[in-house]
Amino acid sequence: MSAENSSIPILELSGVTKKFGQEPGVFTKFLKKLGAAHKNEFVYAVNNISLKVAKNEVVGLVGESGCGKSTLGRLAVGLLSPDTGRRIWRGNDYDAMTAQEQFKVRLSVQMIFQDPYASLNPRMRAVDSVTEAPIYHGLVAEKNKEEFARALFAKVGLSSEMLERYPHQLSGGQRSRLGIARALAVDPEFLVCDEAVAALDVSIQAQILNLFMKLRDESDLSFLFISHDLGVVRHLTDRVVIMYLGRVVEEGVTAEIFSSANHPYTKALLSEMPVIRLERKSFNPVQGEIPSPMNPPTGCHFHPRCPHAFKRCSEEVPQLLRVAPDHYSACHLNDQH
Amino acid sequence: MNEKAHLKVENLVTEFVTSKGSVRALDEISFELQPGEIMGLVGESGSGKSLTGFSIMGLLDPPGRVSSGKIMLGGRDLRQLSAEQLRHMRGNRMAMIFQDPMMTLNPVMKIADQMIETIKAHRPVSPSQAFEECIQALSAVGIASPEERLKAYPHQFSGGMRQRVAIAIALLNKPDVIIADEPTTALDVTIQGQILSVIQNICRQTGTAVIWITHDLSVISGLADHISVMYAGRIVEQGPSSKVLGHPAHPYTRGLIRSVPSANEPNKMLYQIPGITPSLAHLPDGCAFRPRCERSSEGCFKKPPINKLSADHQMSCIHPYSERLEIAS
Repeated sequence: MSAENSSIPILELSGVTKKFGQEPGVFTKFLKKLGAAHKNEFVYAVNNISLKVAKNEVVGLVGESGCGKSTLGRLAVGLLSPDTGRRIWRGNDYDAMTAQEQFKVRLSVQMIFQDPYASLNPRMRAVDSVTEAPIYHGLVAEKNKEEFARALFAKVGLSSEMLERYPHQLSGGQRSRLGIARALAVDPEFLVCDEAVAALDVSIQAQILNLFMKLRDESDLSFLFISHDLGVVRHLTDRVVIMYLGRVVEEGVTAEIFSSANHPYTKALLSEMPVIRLERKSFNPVQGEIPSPMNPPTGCHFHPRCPHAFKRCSEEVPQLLRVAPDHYSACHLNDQH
Repeated sequence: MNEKAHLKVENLVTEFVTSKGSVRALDEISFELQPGEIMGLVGESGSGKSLTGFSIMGLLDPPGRVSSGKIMLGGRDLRQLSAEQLRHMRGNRMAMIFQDPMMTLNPVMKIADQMIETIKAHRPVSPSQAFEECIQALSAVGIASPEERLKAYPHQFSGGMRQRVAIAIALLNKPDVIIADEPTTALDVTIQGQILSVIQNICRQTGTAVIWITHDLSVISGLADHISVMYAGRIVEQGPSSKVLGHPAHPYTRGLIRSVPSANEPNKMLYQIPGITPSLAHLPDGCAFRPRCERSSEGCFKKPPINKLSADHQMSCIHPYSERLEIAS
């Protein structure tokens, strides 16, 4: 790995926005011109987000339901296209590439889903599931597929007896490993894991997390690790990005975020993070619900639930500002003086 | 506050009798619950923790049946009651909260109607009195403007709010025991915190006891007074939370705690319990954890007896750990 290469991130998202919904039709536009009240029907799932993943880095993406973390993951792997903003793959603008170049990039970016049962074809044997993509892309010859799958299985800790099995004949942990093996089959550089361990029992979850750590150390992979589980994120990631209703509220080195969080939302999340403790805890949770993304609060999205909110919070969207070296937070409290 | 009864489960055995033979899904489960106490019932999928809840509530569907043991609530054995008597206990003296609140809520009935129905099924009260109780129950679980919200349908509530309504309904008749089956598993962290806080306050105030079923030790550790750990249909260790988590004696309890990421130094390899959970139909002889256990020996081929470590801490293993388990935090 040359010094020049290491400074360029594997993937950079720059001011990416994705909205869902429909442009108003001709008729609605006409009514609006006549002065009819018309609500904006767009949901800004991802709103002006910038993110960098360096080589061999694990970036955690944390947030509660509806914050847009899965949408961001899908934008990163190219399953969705952003409305505005740029995706830069190894220094080159992805959306300016030719279709052929994009095709190559997509091969280097793979996704692991929460429910491997839903993403594996129930009628395909394990060996066919993991070799389908590499055969299609010409990475392996049809006649060598057994051998290829055997090596992959060894890498993810599946015994070669499983080659002939169908997904329903595997246990939850084995299915998870098969999903990982399939993502690794095309020799990716970058993996997006969307709640990849959320549905697993604690003892199986430990096995899969260990596998991720092993892969990171042995295979030079970079990860975007999407999770709502703060314990898992603290354990596995180098950097963490906290999202709330489509925006990044805080970002920084994992250890620093967990020891000295800046944003009130991050603090609220961390204080409710379940950890094993020996004394009874008196719960003092942040009040209020996650607002609907259809109708988000003005200014800082968190202000209706924030114990420190003041006038400016409801009027102006806070920008991500540096609060410490390599630690950014979007809160007006940092900007009062 | 009226006097609450206490729950005592003794040697509860639940079996599933099928054409291929009978499967013992719960094997001599025993525990006691004092009024106002919260017990965490912890285990992995298939360990029988939900089944324990269903067995106590009398909600088992055939071919499942409770084949022996006692379920004593306030001095009466629930197994001796007729279906009609048991129906009068459910929703009145004991109630259940599920992971998905829509299992409790009727989607086509207004919240008010569902709540009043629950009261009227057990107590002859006037409609205005019932309505008043509903308002109180909703405010107790932290729902703002309860008069308004009573007129709403379940789909008009968010996930966290629906779970609060389900809790309010469970509490309507001031039961002795509530069985909560993974009630926060599907909820976000901040909402989970709110629900835990509601349950904690209500137990302290009303004296209702709670059995909190969960797969996540860390969720229950800050809430429960007692913890019972289940493995393959048996309770392998039980005692006060501080003892079970601080001095876990059973190798399975220890493994379970050590494999939780937040109990480990970041970036270190996690402890892995070797092997997988056995199928209940093909349980190993003797101690069910034996094939996965580092400490197993010849003696483990016999079913381990219940071993009292102290007056309130017991476990079933013949090779217990005695030292404290240090966890990172």
